[in-house]
Amino acid sequence: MARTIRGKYAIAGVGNTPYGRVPGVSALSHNVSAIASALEDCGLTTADVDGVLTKAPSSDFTMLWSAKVSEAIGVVPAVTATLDQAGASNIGLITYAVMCIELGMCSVVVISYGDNPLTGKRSFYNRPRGDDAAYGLFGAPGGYSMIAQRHMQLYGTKSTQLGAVAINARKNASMNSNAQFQQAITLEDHQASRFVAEPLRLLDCCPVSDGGAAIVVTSAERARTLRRPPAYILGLGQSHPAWDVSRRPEATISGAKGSGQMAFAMAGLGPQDMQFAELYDCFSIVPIVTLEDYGFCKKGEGGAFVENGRIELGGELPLNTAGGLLAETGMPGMQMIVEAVRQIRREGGPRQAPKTDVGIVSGQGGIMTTHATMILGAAAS
Amino acid sequence: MSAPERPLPDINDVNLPYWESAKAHALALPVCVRCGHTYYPMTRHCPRCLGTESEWRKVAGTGTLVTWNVMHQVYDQAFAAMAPYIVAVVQLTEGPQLVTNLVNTDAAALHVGLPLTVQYLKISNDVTLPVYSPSA
Repeated sequence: MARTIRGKYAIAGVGNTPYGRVPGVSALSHNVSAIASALEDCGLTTADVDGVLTKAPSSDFTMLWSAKVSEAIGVVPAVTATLDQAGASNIGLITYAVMCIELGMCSVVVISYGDNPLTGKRSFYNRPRGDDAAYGLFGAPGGYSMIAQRHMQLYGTKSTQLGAVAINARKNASMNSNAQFQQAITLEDHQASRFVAEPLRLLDCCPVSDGGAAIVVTSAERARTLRRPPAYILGLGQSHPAWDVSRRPEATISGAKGSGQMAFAMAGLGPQDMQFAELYDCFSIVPIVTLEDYGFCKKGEGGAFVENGRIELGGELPLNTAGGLLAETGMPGMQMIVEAVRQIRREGGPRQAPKTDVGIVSGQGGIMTTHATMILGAAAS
Repeated sequence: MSAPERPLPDINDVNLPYWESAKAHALALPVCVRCGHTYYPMTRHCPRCLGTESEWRKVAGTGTLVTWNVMHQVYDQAFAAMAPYIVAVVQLTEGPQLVTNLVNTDAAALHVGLPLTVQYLKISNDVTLPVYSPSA
């Protein structure tokens, strides 16, 4: 079992840029704006920062990206690195931030992500999947639809249950003035939307989005002296299926299983203790699989779990309170962490969930190729 | 105007025997000499024991359906006339799982575990794609 760091570290500041269509702004500039916003949030300055961790922009992979971000914010860091776990990278980077602070290598780490695939380059998102392109398998929907199809086949999951995830995301985003899609949708809208890669419809897929988001990670002691209430890191986990989706022993079981167990054990908590969840939802099938693998319900029961209002703001487990990837922004994951911190601090405004003292955040990437988990709390213990 | 050419697999010295076997309508896969593992895709090292010696063995050309999708969105104009078309994951009788197309079938007739048999689809002078259809 992983050693616990429960309550020793915290997210002290969060920030973001406008989301959606943001023309004329580079990926680098989105990173800098987001970092400035996160530092302002907690009252620190770049002079306090000695760690700079980044996820490389998905649309335009760049060598030494974190070094370029460091230069752009005028920081000569003790620790800097770029991590490639795709959509799991942001939580993955928190793990490495905590480890470096624990080792005494640095004390205040900014973690940022910014990209402009909507108005800049987006070829990455339509990339052929290697030799599989000869068979016409393209893009992320091509891979996720394979998982959705098998889930429907094995467990009887229905398209309308995928729709429940999308409807909830849009409803919550209608209370988020920075969301890319603020218009609510109905089940009829979902069922009438065209197939992209059947069984996934257009409204099962997240948008491509511009923008950036960043967080500041430091010790709980330091965080308590700053401007905003700390969001304490209670547990962290990772587990990566890693193999191509076509070759996995069972494509409907994700890294959430091992990653969730690790994070829950570190926090000394279980699914029953979670008051809200921010679960990576690049496609509507993903939160369903994640809920199952985290143990909120049995394998195969995720479709039924998301129905009948259970995941709404006033439900048993409010899910993706700002709209998630499906509606707030298709950014690969940092927005989920930012929103979790805001819910913990009770800053959600019209979309604030009733009880948010403890919540779970997931990140995952590729075609469920990677997975990372974080449990956050309003109190250190 | 003719349709744009379908993207071709990247054929190299490691995977050449696979594509040659497809062209000859006698599909073969590498089997690790050290541990006996039959594997796909073709790599210099066996992914189970990291052995570097393999021999090519003809496979039965049969398998079962693991999952599939129906691609409606056209990402490459070469597939515009085909869309919607079925992309599937097949587990071969010898074990390996791979991506392919299903032909001579309707998506409504498919289910996990459906027995499949290889068919050969010539797409260029150099490349014949192994595709699959429901077994008779």
